[in-house]
Amino acid sequence: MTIAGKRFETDDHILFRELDRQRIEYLYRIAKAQTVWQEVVPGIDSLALQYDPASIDREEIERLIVELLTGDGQPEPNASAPETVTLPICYAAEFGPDQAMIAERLGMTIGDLPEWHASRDWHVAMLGFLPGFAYLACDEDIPAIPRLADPRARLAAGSVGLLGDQCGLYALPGPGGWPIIGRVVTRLFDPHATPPALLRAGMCVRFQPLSRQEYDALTTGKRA
Amino acid sequence: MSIIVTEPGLQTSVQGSPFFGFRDSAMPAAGAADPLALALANRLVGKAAADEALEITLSGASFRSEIAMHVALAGAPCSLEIDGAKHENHRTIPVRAGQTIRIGHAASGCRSYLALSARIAIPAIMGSGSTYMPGGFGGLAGRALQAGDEVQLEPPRESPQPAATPAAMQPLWTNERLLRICAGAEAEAFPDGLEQLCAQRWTISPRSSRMGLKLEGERLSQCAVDALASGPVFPGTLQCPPDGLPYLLGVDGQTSGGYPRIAEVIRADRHLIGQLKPGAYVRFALTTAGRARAILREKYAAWSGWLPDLRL
Repeated sequence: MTIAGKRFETDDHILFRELDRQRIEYLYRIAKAQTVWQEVVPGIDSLALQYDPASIDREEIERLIVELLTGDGQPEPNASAPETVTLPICYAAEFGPDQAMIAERLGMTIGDLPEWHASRDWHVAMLGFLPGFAYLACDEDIPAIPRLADPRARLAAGSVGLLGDQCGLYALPGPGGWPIIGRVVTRLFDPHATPPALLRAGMCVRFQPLSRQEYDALTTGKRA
Repeated sequence: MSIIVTEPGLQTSVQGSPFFGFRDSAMPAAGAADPLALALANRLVGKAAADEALEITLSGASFRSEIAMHVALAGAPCSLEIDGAKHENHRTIPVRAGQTIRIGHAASGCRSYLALSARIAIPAIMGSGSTYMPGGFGGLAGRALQAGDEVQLEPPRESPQPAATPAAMQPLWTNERLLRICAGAEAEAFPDGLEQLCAQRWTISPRSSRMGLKLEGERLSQCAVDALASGPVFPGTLQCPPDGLPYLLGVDGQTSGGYPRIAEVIRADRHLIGQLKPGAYVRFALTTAGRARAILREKYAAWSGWLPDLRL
């Protein structure tokens, strides 16, 4: 990991690789404000900027990249505290079919799992895979949890997967191979909203445990 | 007022411009798999290059129009019949209320576009009326059209000037394509990957869709990188999974991946990906990023007279 990262380029996008988290979050924030980019896409340790090479000169792109990398006239990194989103989550057994395996890997009981998971500090590393799917990361040392040998054909929207220090939020119903620990109530992807995903790279996430009764009360009459 | 789907075919959907600017929400591009063919069809009914039309896949489809309007078919060449009377592709064709439009099987290419002079009355999401079928949203009910579906139309205010695509502007059709590529982010991690990639003729696997195309051929040598942290990919990215057989991302392709990126199909050639059907052949030729940008500008210049608003 380096501050500047390695730069790679194709005809219509630039990829900065081997970036650390703070640098990705900073470059992402600044690049989103540079209206020239068609897409600004964070990865786990990279960031891509896509543009239309027929409507903008390569020299202008170079000038914008220099501006981006040197931060000329831009706010300092970490100038404002990261936005925190609280996600109500239900750890009822039916919403967390892999709790037994997860608890065993982590060396705790199923009963201790909700409080343990909800009291970790998670941040959004990136969105990817499918619309709204968020990769959360935790900076603590957490034992790795393997993916399921047999991915599930269909998970409910809001399913929360755990691979150890990575937590994955399934925004839409669909296939998935992450062990599932619980389900969040909040709608994570709405194609009618701008932006469509609730979360974005750099945000902090707090999970707020709900009883089954509280979950039902929050979801009654609310259908995705 | 609508056009009614009588036979939906293999996969027919409403497609127009891609969804732009939401890949950081992990929202794929979607939109017409071949935006050039879409633009050619739209041009003949007086519409903008990326307006919504019906994207028809391989097997044909048929519709009954409840209104009088004009239609035009471009893309993979197919037979076109209005109430049994044969018509050519690349022509503006009048349709009366109650007539049946029948599109036949595509002998070469993969996707045809039926443009309508009537506006397809679908509410835009994320700035487009295109259908993103894997997520179940956009277009009509977020899915491929089914028999009996009624696609709501707004009757055209005026008739388009009847036209035909000039012969010199009609793309040539083949099931053996050459796509130009730039080296991908991990190209150097393949011992002789780019050479191997460009030295053979690849076959499009049946495991292919708007999301991506699996290529069959002689397996590429193992990449020196096996586990990559998940990172951005785009339509046109050629990923190479451990089986050594490349996967070429299409317009519905996911926004991130963890497999090594061996190459990127250049922007000017990406529309051709939408015309590769299972069993078709593809070859790759390496170019530079600078040359690829020049090719895109040359392509726009060549099309500027007929399709001034084309965007690939």
